Amino acid sequence: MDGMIQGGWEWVAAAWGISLTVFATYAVLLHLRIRHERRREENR
Amino acid sequence: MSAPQRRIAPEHWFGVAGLILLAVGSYLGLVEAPPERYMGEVGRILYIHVPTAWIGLLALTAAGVFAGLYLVQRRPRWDDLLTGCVEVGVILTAMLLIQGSIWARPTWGVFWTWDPRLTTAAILLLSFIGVLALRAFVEDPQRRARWTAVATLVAVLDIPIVYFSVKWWRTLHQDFSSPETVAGAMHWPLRINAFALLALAIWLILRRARLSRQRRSARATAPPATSTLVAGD
Repeated sequence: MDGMIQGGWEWVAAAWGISLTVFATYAVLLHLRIRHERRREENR
Repeated sequence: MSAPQRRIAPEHWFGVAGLILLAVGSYLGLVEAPPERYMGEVGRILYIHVPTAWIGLLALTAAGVFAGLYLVQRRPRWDDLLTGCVEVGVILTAMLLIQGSIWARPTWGVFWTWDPRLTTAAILLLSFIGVLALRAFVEDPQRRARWTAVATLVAVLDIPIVYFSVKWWRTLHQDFSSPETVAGAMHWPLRINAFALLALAIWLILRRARLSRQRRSARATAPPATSTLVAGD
């Protein structure tokens, strides 16, 4: 179609991939912080 | 005798719902929706970018509400939720700017420009990073909660400026979207991903509040001897 940007899946993959990676990394780190705190409490 | 079963924390149901909705919304946005008339496939970035903007601003607005509640009632519960909203809001706003830059390169030709919407969003991110930095430097729990709440109320002043920047100034960024300006096939991925990110944000905010609660409980039961190091918050 006239005027339409051709291709571009690499930008789509980068935007979705980086977003989901950032979000998942925060969720995992938060889980580890909670588990660390729980273990420290159990060991006291 | 069987070992006692650990109960699943109730906030995990938000996480499960969010992941299911995100899978459905991603499928609709990446597979089922047609390419946009001018942006082509690149327009699919908007199915994650726009919901991220909505939920990021919502999380930071909620932080402002919890900050006000804390200053009025001084309940630690509000400080726990405020911290969760700020952390999750910062993550979402950082994601928003990354997605926007990636979208801008093939459509505007640059990763970044000092457009009013982009600039005010960047100021918003830096302001709330500042709130978290301030929080990290204050040791006394009451003072930390009070200063966090006050700094949050200052930072949230930028939220309406971000939102209305596309109306108030001449800008490259698109105007507000509404059902009238978005084609029917593109509604569902936007809406479903918005509910997905809302559920995931609630999940993480409640998880972060749980961490604050655990740390407060550890401080309360810690022996007075200074040999034990107890985390701040």
